[in-house]
Amino acid sequence: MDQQKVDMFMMMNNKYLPESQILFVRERLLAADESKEGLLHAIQFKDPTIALILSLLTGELGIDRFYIGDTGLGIGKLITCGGLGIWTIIDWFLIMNTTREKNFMRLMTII
Amino acid sequence: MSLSRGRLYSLLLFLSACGYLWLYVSNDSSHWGDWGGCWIRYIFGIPCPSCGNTRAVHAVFHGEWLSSLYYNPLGLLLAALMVVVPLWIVVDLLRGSSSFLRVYQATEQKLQRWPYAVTGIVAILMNWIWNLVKYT
Repeated sequence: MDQQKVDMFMMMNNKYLPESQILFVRERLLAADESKEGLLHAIQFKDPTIALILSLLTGELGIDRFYIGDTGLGIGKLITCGGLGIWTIIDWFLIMNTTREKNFMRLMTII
Repeated sequence: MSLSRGRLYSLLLFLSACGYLWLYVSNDSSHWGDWGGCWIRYIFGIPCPSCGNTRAVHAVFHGEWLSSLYYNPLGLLLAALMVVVPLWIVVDLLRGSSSFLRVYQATEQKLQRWPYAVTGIVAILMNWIWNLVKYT
């Protein structure tokens, strides 16, 4: 893909992706075919900040996990009162990175 | 687009172990005072949709199905998961297959479709209302 388009994409979306994978994503995009561009613009990334807010307010019900697409773990969190409250607290610290990793995996399925 | 096999299996085995440990520890509730394992109940004084699950799972394991359904119908689901999931994972690990992972991913995708999601949300809300009536 064209370097200018890739840089624009990275500038707009780097907050949704894991820091350690930014360079890798950029290289993969540069090597990707032009036909992927339409698909790239169609991806809707999950916002890590919204995931964190959901985790702080409704983590006990697993709604943060449902939001990022981890339905199975969301149900696990819901039926155990948020892992007896302990899983809820752990997720306050993990959910932003997990969201970015989920976004990265979603991007990798396309390019 | 889910967790990898190793991470999912180790996480679920760990959660099951924690579940059994909690069941064992919560048998003697005198140590715990007001703390029943639920933030919502502790802070706001109202039960969450899954309050009563510990009692419900205890009741299932003692064969008291009806009282388990009264404590919380989700307890039946939780007890079934606590028995089936670790066994399935151990069998999978011994055989080197990924059948549980495939079923987990397929179920996850199905539950994300709106008819299933809406049914689930309505069921949970109704259970929550029943919990509010029962426990407050």
